[in-house]
Amino acid sequence: MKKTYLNIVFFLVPLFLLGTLNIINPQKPTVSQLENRALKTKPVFSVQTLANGEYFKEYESFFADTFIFRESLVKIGGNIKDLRGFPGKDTPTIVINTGANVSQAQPHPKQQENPENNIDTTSDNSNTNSSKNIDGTDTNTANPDTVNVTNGRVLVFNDAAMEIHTFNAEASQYYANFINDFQGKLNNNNIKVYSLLTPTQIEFIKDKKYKSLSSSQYNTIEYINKHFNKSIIPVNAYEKLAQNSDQYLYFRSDHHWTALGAYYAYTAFMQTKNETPISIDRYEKDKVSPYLGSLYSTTLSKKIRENPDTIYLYKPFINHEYNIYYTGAIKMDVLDMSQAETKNKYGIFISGDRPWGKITTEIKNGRKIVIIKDSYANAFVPFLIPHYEEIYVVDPRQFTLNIYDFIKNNEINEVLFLNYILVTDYKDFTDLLIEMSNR
Amino acid sequence: MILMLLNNVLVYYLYSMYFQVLFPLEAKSLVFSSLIFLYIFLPLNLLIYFLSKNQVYRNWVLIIFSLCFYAWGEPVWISILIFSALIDYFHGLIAEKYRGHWQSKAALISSLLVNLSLLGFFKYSSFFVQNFNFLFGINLPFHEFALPIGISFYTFQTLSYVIDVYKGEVSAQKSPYKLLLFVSLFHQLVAGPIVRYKDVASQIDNRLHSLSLFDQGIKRFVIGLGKKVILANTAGEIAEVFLNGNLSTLPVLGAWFGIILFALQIYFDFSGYSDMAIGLGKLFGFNYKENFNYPYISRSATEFWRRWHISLGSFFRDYLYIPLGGNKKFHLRNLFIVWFLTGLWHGASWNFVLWGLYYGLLIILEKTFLIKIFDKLPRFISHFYLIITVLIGWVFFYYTNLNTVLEFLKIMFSFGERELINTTLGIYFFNNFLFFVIALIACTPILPAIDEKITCLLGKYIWVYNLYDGFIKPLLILAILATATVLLVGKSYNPFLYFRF
Repeated sequence: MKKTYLNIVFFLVPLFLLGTLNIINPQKPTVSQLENRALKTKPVFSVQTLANGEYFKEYESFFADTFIFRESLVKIGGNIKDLRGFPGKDTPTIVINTGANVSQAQPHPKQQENPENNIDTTSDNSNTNSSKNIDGTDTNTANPDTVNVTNGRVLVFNDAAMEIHTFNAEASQYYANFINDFQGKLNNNNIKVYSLLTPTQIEFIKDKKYKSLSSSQYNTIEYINKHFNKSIIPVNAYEKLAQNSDQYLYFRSDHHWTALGAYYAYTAFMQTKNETPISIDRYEKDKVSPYLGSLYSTTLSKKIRENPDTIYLYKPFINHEYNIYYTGAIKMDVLDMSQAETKNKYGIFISGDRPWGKITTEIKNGRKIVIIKDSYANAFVPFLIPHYEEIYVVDPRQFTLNIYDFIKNNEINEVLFLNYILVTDYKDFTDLLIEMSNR
Repeated sequence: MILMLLNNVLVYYLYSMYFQVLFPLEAKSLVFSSLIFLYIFLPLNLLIYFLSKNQVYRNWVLIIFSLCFYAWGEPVWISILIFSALIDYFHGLIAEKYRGHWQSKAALISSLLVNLSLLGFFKYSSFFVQNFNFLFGINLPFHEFALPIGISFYTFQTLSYVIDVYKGEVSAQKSPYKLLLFVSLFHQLVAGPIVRYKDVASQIDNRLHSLSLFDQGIKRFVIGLGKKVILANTAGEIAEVFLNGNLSTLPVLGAWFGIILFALQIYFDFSGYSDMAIGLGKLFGFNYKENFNYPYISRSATEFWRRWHISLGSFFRDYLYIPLGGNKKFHLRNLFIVWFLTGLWHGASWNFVLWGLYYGLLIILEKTFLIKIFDKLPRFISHFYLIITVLIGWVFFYYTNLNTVLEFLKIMFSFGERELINTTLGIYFFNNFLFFVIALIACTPILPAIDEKITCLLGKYIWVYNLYDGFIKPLLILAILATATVLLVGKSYNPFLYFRF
C-alpha cells in the first residue's frame, strides 16, 4: 500500500505560511475597534525586561494581538462556540465578560483628529489578565488558564444581550453610606441630594426563568434606599421604566438604556421634584443606525449582529452652550454627531464620558444642578436642559477637583447621583466616588 | 554585556526577595498551545534542525531551542537547570567509575541531596516553614519563590539518570552537552512525561528520521493540541463557573457538573500535553513512552494509577516503593510514604497530600477485599465506583482550602435537601451538550476502535482505504489544527466595555 503524506503538507504549509505572513505583515494594526482597546505594541528590548521575562511575555501578547486575519478568526471562533450546544437548537447563553476597567475616558478632543485614535489607549489588557491562579491547580500538572473571579456575566436572550445583576449587601450599603456621608460633608441643608439608581434590561424580561438569573433589582434599589438617611431623596425611576417596559427602553447590543429609557427616568425625577416633565412629542427626533454596542463586542452573538440597534435622538430645543473640561473649556454639542462615525455610538450623548462638563441654558431661573454619574446619565442629561440654568456633569472616574469646593464655588443647589444598578455589585465604583470626594 | 545581564539578574533577584510575595508568582515558559510556539518557534526549530546535516549540529540546535523555550518566561531559572544537569553529569561519571565502591554510593547520595534540596527549596520551603511556624507557634520568615518551570520534572529525570547509572542499568553519558540535551529537551521539560535517560540514551546519538515517523508525530502533536485547546480549555471555562462561583447557591447537580468538567479539563490538559510532547519527540526522532492510557475507563483506583500519568507512577514504583521493600516488608508503611509523596509532588499544600493518601487508602482497600468483590459483580458497578471516587478525589485536588473541600463534598451529596438544578445549570448544560458528549467520548478508546473497524472493513477496497487513510484522516487533522488556531486567536479577544466601573 502506498502511503501518502498529506498530513505533513497539511501541517507544514499552514505553519510556515502563517508564520511567514505574520513576520512580514507590514501593517500591524494598533487598535481594535471591535474590542474598544489598543492592541499590544511591539515591546522595546532591554536587558532588564529580557531578564525578568517581561520582554517575551509582551512579545507573545503582541504576536497574538496582531495575528494576521485576527478579527475574522475571532468571529469564526464565535461561530464555533455556537456549535457546542444541542445541534440546531437555539437556547439562551451566558457569556463571561473579562474586559472591564475603571476608566471610560474619551480621548482628549485635541488628539481626536484621527478617528482611529478614538479609543481608550490607556487601557492595557494585561491588567485584566493578571490574576491569581485558581485554587488548587498546580503549574506542575495541568495549567488551567488563569481567571478573574470578579468577571461579570452577560445573558444572551433571543437577540438581546443583558448584564446579570448580583445583589451584594455589603457593597450596596457601602454605596448608600457614601451618599449619606457626602450629604453630611456638604454641610448645607439647602442643597438637595437625589439618588437615581437605574434598573437594567434583564429586570424587565418576561421570561421568569431567565429573569431569575439576576437578583431582583427592585429589591436592591429598595435596600439601598432604606439605608439612605432622611435627607437623601430617592427617585423612583423603576416604576416608570417598568410601566413602559414594552417600549424600546434598552439597547439589545449594549449595556445602556436608550434615550427613551432615560426620558422615563427623567419624568420620574420631575415627579419627585413636583414639576411637570416636558412631553416627548415636543422634541424633534433623529436616528442613527445601525448600532452594535458593547455587549455585542462581548458576546459576538450572530443574532444580535443580524439585528443591530438604532439610536434615537431627541434634539434639545432650548438654546444652550455645552463645554467639557480637561484643563480648559472645550466647546461640544450635547448630541455630538461626530461620535456617530465611531463604533461607540452611545458616545453621541453629551459626547461621552468626560472629567466634567457644563451646560449653560437660556433659562435664567437660578437653578443649578450637578449630576455625579456613570455613563447611564449621558442619555438623561439633555432632557434637563429646559429646567436648569446650569447643569454640571461630573464623572468620578476622571474628575480631579475637590467636589465640595466645586459645588460651593459654582453655587450649585441640587446634587443628583445617577448610576446604574450594577455599580452596587462591587465596591469599586463607590471606591472611586470616595476617592473623588477625598480630594 | 554579560556583566550587565548578571547585574540585572542580581538586582531583580534582590528586588523580588525584598518584596515578600504573597502569592507564588507564576513563572511562565513558552507553551505548546500558543500561537507564537506554533507559528514561529516550531517552524524555525524544524527548519534549522533539518537544514543541519549531522547529528552533532542537530543536537546543538535542539539544546539552543530548548534553552530559549525555557528562558521564555524567566531566564534566571536556566541557571538551575544547567546546574542540575552539570552536577549530575559528574555524579554519573563518578557513580560509574567507582561502581561497587563507596564513591559510587556517595555520588548517588549527593545527587539525591542536590536534586531533592533544589526541589525542596524552591517548591516546598515556604510550605515547610509555614507548617513549622504553625506547629510551634513561631514566626520564621519565609519567601515564596516563583516555581522554576518544570523543576518537578527535570529533577526527577536527572535523579533517575544517576540512579540508573549507579545500578548499572545504563552507562554514564561521557559528554556533558548530550546530558544537557536530555535534561533540557523542551518536548517534555515543562509538563512531562518524565523521561528516563536509559529510554532515550541511544536516541541522543542515533536517531532515525523518517517521513513515516514525522507523519505520526504530526498526528500525535495535533491531536494533543486539540485536546488542550479545544477540549481542556472549554471544559475549564465551564467548570470554573460552577467551581469558582458562589457555593451557597450551587445546586447538587451543578456541583457534579462542575467537577466532571474539571475531571475532563485536567485529563485533556495533561494528556494533551503528553501527546504533544510525544508528537514533538517523533518529529525530531525521539520515542517517548506513553503517559496516559484512557484512565477514566478504569475499574479500580489501582488500575487508574496504571493508566494515569504512567511515568510518575512508575517513577515512584521503581525508585521509591520497590527500594523501600515494596510489598515484601513494611507494605503499609511503604504505601503510606509513596502516596504521601505522590500527593505532595503535585503541589506544596495539604490538600494534595490528602489527595495522594486518599488514593493510597483506596488501593489498600482494593487490595484487601474490594477487587475480589468487584470481580463477582457486574462490570458497570466497578466502573461507577471508580468514576465516583475519582471525582471525589478531584475535589481535594481543586480546592486548596480544606473547608471548601468539605463544603463542596457536602453539596455533592445533599440529594433531597438542596436544589437539584437551577437555571444557570440548565443554560450551561444545553449550550454545551454536544461538547460534553464529544469530550466524554474522547475520554474512551471508542474513536480508535472505530478507526480500526473502518480500516478493517476498508482493507478489501484498497482505493477507498487510501482515500480514508491518505486524505480524510489528514483532513481531520488539518481541521483540528485550524480549529485550535482559531480558538487560540480568540483567546486574545478581550473587548473593553468600560461599563462596570
